[in-house]
Amino acid sequence: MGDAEMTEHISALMDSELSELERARVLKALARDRDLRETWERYHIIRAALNEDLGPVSSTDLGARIAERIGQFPSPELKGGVHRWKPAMRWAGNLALAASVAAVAILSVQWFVSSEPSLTPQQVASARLRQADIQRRGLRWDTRQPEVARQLNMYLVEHNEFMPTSGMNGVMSYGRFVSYDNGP
Amino acid sequence: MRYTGFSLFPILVATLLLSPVTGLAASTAATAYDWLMKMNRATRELNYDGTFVFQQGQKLEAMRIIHWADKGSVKERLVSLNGTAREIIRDDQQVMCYLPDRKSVVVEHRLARGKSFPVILPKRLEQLQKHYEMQLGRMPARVTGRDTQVVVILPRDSYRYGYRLWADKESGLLLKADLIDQMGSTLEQLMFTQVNIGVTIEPQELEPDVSTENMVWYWGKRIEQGTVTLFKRWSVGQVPSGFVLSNKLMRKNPRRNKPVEHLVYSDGLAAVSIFIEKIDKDGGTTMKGPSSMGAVHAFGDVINDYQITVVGEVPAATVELIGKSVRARP
Repeated sequence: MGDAEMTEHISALMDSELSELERARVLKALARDRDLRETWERYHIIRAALNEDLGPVSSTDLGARIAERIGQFPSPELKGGVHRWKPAMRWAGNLALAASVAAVAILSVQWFVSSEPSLTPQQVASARLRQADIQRRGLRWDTRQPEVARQLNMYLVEHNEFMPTSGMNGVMSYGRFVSYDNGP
Repeated sequence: MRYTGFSLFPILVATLLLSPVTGLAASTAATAYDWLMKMNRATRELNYDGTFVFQQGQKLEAMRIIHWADKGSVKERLVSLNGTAREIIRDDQQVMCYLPDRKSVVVEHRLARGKSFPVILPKRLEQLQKHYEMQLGRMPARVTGRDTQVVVILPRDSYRYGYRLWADKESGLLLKADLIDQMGSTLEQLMFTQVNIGVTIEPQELEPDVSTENMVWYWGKRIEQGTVTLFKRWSVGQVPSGFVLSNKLMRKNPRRNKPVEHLVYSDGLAAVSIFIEKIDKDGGTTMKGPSSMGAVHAFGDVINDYQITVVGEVPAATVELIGKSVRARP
């Protein structure tokens, strides 16, 4: 089976569109091919971004999950079926999704379709202005008092400075602040 | 298929991260620790420009990071790619938060002088091992197409989190990080989706895109010790084992323009801050009890007209334990 064909099968697997035999074959291939597993992981992230449903990528290790699922069919947790996977992939394929898809998805797609010309930072920047409606629930303090949330954020910035492992953790901490949701 | 005949894969995956090979524990921990050092060094020595996703529960955020480093000096710009186009630009001296949605710029001077991008010192290894178990992943793992070394840091009790870290084999740069609980379950995840390491970064790339026109600037600063004597008035009765007072300072709250006492307790990996601030006479907003944002927890209490707030990237039990033990000295 060629790579392109296998990629198509992974997509079908996520949509539960494979026969028993094909499914077993794809799972086996996933088990032994690192690149395919990464494709699978990227598909999940892209789909998650489109669906705001991050269940599949929030598990500890996707590889382990795939291993777990050999012999046990993965049932994609597509909630509501609003975004079908295949149409989503078609947009991704031609990269013509600037108007309505989250920048997250674009970034993932950019990284996924590495043979395609990359989006410029300007394109990404313009896309992000139009995708606010996608990201409805953001990261925020679980308090009903906006003043308390603001103060906690301030404290958090001050606290971050003293994080001992401020390499990537620093990024994580400040990242929270950058992406903090002030929405309604 | 480029990789064939790998029926061992499921077994390998099963043993991937958390295999308890106790006989090798000591040397593995040392090697894992070496990788931590390498990751820290990469942050201080490498330029990189990339996009990453931050995932917490149902939320996924995309950010761009532009990181410049030269001779231990570091400047970094972080830009939100979804939602409001917020930016954080930080260097050795200050952290500038550009918040277009609030029409404000908040500037915090870095008060931990010389400790801004700290190195975990080797002598800390022994201390760390009392509270964390450190292991090396044995399976090859790739992130954004690069070969990585996986390092797992598991907490030995429920008062701190652990980490699963993927370091770029070539440069040591951390490419993916999972914040995990004691059971190894992922709480939050950060992952580069694309990164260019060792690129040239022009100064203008570290400047904000957002216009600061009509923005209000808030400046935080340190209040030199000696001008205030609040420190003596408070005691912290209980902290989880391993946490020691690592910093104490007096800040000026940039938003309320009032002094805030700031105590930091750390076990070498995790840190908890205690903020103590006098409540406005006209009845400012106070916070009592727990609050959280993802894996970050806070606990508030009010003692003698003072707001006590404990904040940290630690479990709820930790901030609560510490928060409830703060006392005003007679």
